[in-house]
Amino acid sequence: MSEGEMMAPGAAPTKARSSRGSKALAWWKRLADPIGGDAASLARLRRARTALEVLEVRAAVILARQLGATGAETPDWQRRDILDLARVLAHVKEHDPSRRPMQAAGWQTFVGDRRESDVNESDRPKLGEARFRRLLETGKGEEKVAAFTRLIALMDGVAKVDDLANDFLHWNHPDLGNRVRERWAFDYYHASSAAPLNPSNPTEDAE
Amino acid sequence: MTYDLRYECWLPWRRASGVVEWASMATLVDRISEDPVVALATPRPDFDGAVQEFLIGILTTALGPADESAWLALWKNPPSVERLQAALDSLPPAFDLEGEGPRFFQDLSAADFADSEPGPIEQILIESPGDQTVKLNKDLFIKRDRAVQFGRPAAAMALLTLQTYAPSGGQGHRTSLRGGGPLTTLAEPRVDSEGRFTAHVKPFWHKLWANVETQAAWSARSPATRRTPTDTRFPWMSPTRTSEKGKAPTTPEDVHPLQVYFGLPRRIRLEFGEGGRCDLTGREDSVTVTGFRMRNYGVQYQGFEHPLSPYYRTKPGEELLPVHGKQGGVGWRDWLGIALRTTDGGLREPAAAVAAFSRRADRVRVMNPRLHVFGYDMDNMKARGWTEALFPTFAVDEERQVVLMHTAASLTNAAGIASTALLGAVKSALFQDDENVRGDLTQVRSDLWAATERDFFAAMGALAAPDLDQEGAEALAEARRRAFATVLEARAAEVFDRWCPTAGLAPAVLKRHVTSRYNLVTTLRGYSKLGEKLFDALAIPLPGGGQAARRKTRSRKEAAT
Repeated sequence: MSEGEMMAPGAAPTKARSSRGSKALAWWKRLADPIGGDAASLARLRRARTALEVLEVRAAVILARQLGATGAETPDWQRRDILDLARVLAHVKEHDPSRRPMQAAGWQTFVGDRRESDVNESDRPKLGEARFRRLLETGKGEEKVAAFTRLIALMDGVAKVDDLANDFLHWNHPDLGNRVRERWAFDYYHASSAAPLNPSNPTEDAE
Repeated sequence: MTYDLRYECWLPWRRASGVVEWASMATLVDRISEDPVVALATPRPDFDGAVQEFLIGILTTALGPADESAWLALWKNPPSVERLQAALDSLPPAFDLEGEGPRFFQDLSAADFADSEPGPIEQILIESPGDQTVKLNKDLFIKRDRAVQFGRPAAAMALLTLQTYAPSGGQGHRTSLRGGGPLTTLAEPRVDSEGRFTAHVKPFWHKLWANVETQAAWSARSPATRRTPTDTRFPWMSPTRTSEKGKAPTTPEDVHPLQVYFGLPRRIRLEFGEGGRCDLTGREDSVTVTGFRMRNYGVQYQGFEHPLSPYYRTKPGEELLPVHGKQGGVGWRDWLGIALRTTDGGLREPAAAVAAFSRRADRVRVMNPRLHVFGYDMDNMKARGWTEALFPTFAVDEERQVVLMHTAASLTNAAGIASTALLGAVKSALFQDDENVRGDLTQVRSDLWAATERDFFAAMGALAAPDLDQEGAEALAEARRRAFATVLEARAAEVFDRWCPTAGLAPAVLKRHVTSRYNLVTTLRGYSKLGEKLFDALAIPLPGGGQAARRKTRSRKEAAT
């Protein structure tokens, strides 16, 4: 394709959400607010290395409660996942609602069968292809936290917080995780308009 | 011994109540108000098909309605069993399966077969493995010795099925009157006023009668120069018109036009034996058939137009050829050629019986009959499969017929192009080197045709609506074509996703998947060369005016900055 402009209507519409992602966004906005926020907590979350250290930051516990993960019936791994999310989001400096994570980090034009040397410098991805592939193979736990944190750093702290949060939380789900990776691939290669529509897009929580 | 098929109980009839009854031919109209016969219940679909065609031929010959009003009278008031039986009685004695005289669908000259070795009766079934296959032990799926002996009913059915659909069988073994493995299309009139299918409760009589020719019709298709003093309706009443080297083929000028229903391409004599159980029907018979003798150079038919099959020409003015079943079965892709008369130089002709019924539709108040399509899919001598389908048809005037035809052609072409794009996308997503993919992926295309069938017939039905005037129909046709582009995109994407799941794909393969789906979707939206071809087939405007126009716009934009 020689065109760089957006294709015909067909890209997945963003729906109004009361999903975990939008709750995480609200949580982050309050903390990151330059006036009434809590920079100290964010700093402590960034430095936290163990579960205990995270739990000592009240803001993290609040996030867990808001995402409905403080009851006795919540499995351990789910609680830990949310605490990890708190650590990751603490690295975000600016919320950009206009582009999903891989749309921002990936190719800015569809390359397809063209030679990569024919593509403009400005269209090249911030996240190199080899790194993108390794990113897709990220597992769970600390490895996942590190990968997402590095990604945010690469994007100079700018991210679409609600999508990032949803993707993080779905990453290890047997079905949804696959759909997240699928969506990331379409976004990364600037093929979002050709991605399958629902139910392949985790635009809302399944639980 | 004789076994006269006009009296014997050799046909399995199913009644509306579900009861299956082995009875005589005339039982077709027995208790037609209380519990009518609604279908045949033979052991095999090819028997069902061939016997139906045979019965249509018998009714045409025995009851012989002179013209359309005679036809209408019997449509409204089917004959009694007695009347039908009397009509059968008055036919020549051509229905004895095993007597000394002319034998039903067998060669008259028994002496000619004295030197032939009888082969197993099973080989009379079209899909059975032949001698060569058996010798080489290649009968892997359809094995030998499935049916070692037949009762006389099954033998009669099998014999007439072979003669009706005969594929090529080697040196001098002739194909049927319509070539090897023809496609048959019958009008199925049993629908109610809402268009709902009622064949399970309405008399089979009407389905058969709907396809019966009048004397006026078959006289019209008989050339004026026909030269037969003798009765050639049932070819086995006379010595076979053989076709050895140097002999002329048999044409419509040589025989009675009704012989089309009783074609005799193969020279066969059945071998009869002791009583026993039929391996096909499970019923006992006092005489069984264990083998048959066959000779080659039977009747070679040429130039006939069978009323129950559609025909086509490769070029205007060329000879008409009978349509045969295609690989992958029959679907809406074929509907245009078998349901509508095309005006592109008359390249496709629906079956004469179907065309005739569409003219009768008004008088019998069956506005949207179904089209029952069936036949073997042959690969030369091998039977690949049996295809059968039931399609809608629409009774519309000439003017509207043209709208339907053009729209159907447009949608059919477009789906063909879309299926090419889809196949390419699936190949490139699944295989690293998609140029040299081996293996059969035609199922991908079939999936798209299957997925779009409903939308196609919905469009045809909408265009055929009686409360629409001609101008409205033309406007609706354009809207439907535009809408179909969206349909094709959605369905093709669904088929693609089914064939190319992403679960657990390695990142490198995922990239290929993304690229393939992107190329597919953008093509179906009218971009790329193939996409422009697609939109051209649909006769709808290209996005942004097409690639050339978009380039111009872009260079204007660039020049301005």
